[in-house]
Amino acid sequence: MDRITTIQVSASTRDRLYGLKFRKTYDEYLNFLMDMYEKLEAEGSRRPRSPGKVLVMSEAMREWVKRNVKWRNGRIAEVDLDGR
Amino acid sequence: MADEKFIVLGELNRALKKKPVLVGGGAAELYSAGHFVTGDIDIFADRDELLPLLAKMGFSKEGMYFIRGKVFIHLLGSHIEKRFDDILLKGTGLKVRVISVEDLIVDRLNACKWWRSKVDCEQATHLLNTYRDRLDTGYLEDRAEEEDVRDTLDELRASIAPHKNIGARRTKRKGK
Repeated sequence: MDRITTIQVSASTRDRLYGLKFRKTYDEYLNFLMDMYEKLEAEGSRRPRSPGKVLVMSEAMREWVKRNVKWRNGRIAEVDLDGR
Repeated sequence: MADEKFIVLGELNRALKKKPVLVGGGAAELYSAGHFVTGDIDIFADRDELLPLLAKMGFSKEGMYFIRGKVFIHLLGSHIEKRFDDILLKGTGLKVRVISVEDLIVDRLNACKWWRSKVDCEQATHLLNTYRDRLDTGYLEDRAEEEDVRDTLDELRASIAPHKNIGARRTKRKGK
């Protein structure tokens, strides 16, 4: 077994981990999370989000900017967040 | 009504002499009309001036956050050498100081390139396309070169339709 070390996490993080790690040690649970993350990352890299979809969404954002952002001297001066 | 976290930031901005600067996900949320939502707000502010005010406003410190209800503030440092904009939140009478869109894009490019963060690549692409005719291209390219992310910037710009001209303005930076 690897040598045991200590890491510092906030009390709230520790409490969340404790609540989630049911019947696992912290070490086992963190490894489980990392395995899951790496698996999702690997899947994600094989299936990147379509650039077309990203652009379609940002075209919608452009429309929002046109309606709800005011500019002064080429810089953003006012935003209407209620226009969301 | 604007999101409570932006109202809090506006109140801080009004009360503090050294104005806090919103960076990170909060800035992305503001510039993206809430398309990218963040749980906390990352700011740069003068610690000595900020902390007593936060306590007065009912925030308590838990770990690295100052928390009041659903508002989580993360103080990253006291000073940031970036361009920023003072933005009025319509209907509130409050202003917030926010890292410029160009610097936010460079920030996302860093995460995209060095951390291979797909979310950040996507956010950078979104912001590049959304603000394509408003960006200060000269400043954006200078900053991207300073941070060694010019290649990623060019790559993402190429992924946006070639006929779309990103950046309508070009200004010279001080000292350049």
